[in-house]
Amino acid sequence: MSKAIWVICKKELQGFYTSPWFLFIFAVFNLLLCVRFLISLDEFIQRSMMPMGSGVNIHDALFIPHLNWVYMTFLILIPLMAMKLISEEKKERTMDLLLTSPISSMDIVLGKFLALWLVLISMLALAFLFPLTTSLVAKFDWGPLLGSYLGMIFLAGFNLSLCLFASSLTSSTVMSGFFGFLFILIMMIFGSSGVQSENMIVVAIFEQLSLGLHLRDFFLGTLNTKSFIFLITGIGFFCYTTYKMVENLRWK
Amino acid sequence: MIHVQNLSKYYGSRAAIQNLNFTIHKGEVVGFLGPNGAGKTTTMKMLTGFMKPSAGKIEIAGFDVTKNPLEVKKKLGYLPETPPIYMDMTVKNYLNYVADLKAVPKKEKKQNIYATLESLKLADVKDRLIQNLSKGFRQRVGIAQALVSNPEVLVLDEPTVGLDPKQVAEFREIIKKLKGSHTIILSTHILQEVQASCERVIIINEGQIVAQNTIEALTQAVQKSNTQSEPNHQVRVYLKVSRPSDDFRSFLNSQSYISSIHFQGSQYEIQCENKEEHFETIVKNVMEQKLGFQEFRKEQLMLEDVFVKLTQNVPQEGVH
Repeated sequence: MSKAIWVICKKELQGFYTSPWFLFIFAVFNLLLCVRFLISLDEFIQRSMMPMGSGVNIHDALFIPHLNWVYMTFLILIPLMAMKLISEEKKERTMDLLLTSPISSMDIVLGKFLALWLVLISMLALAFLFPLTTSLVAKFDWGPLLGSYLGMIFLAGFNLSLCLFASSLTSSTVMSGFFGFLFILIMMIFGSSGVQSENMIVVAIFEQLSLGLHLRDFFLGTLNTKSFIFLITGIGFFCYTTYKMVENLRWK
Repeated sequence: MIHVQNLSKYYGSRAAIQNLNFTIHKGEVVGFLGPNGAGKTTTMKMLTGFMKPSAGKIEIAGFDVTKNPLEVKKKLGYLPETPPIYMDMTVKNYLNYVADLKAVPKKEKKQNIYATLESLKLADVKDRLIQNLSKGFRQRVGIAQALVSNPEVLVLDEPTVGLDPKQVAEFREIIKKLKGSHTIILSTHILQEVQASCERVIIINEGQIVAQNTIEALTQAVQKSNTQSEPNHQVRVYLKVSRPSDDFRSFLNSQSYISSIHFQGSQYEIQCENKEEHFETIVKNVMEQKLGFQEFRKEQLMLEDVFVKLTQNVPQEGVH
């Protein structure tokens, strides 16, 4: 890995973890997770005490709603956190510094992507504390749980790459956040509405594009290779288009 | 050190820069002068490998900017028109970041940062967020950013904008210190800047070089061309006496080589032909009438006049 990627990444990470604004969001995120987890826990206990309740699965009843909640907050948080990444460099003219430094456009894109991805992974690690503590008092199957978290890491990465690309489109932070949100929304609508078509290929394509479907697969604990290939390709594709956008600034 | 050959830049069919040719030797401080919109910033951007030339070749420290941009950028410090600073970083962290970006070796990094903080008098604010600094300080941080990698070549685009007169003087001191060890291009539209810090000046207008030479040579050349092209070339002289009289006034009025007289307090501002014998006559008359001679001064042709002349007219012979 190029050293420049790490330089950029370190700077962005410092920016996140020293910003009071971000620490506040981090705290609120954590608080929401706590509340949500307690609600699910309560529901789970009540259901398992019912006569038919013996069949309730802790993974489905407790961890999935929890992780679903994490995903929902990410849908809002990722565009908000990623919107500044490139658009602000353009607006504040600090891009001039990056582009006249001995680093490549790819270093810039990957550094920024990696930084925010690490932040998101750290937030997921925080969410992972809940099942971890639960394991002290209950026994459950780790497989589907770890699979779900692994899937979430890549889903977050995919949404992040979308928002990073959105951020490279404009020099307005607000517009970039809006675009990022819009892109994620479009990806969600794909497939989730269930495309009705005679053509099986079209249906299959839309199914693959549907993030919700991949999410469901992960939650079920089935680590589908297709899902990973889709997400990694997606991340690669949007990082590449972002790279093209940055490269475009260079040779105007 | 810097070698530019037939450099051109077109935006569509409009030429922003046309056929620039110049060489800057190691250790030189060269002023890049031109009115707003002459193509200064475009040239700076191409020199720093930020923008691709439409045609021509730029070589910095032996490397071609288009073929070997990374090597060139390692040797280059650049201060753009808007200083590229991050408002949410402290001065020290920011300089540290820039040093990392420029791949400054770890051993030299710390020392470079401290030396830069010292020389730009930023040591006192090193732990403050840049957003809390005044505009002058921010500009200095911008200059620090260009210096922190201790680059061989410094490209400064309008470096003294936003600085107060004291800071401008300090900046000139810094340039003086760097002279010899660094090659510096200073783009500006402020003439005093060039006169104070540069040995050589390149004047550009409408994307073309209209003159490049030392400041003295340029002034002399324009002066000479003035007297050649207009034998009755007018200059302004200032005369100060203790006891102005009406007789003297009417004497001045009667002289054919004087085109206008402006009298204020005890000072005469006279527009007359640029010939030594006329000056002699005037001063002799002051002495004879015992007016109490105090001062006689011919207005010097400044870089400003050269600049105005060159950027108004077509390129001149004998100036190149």
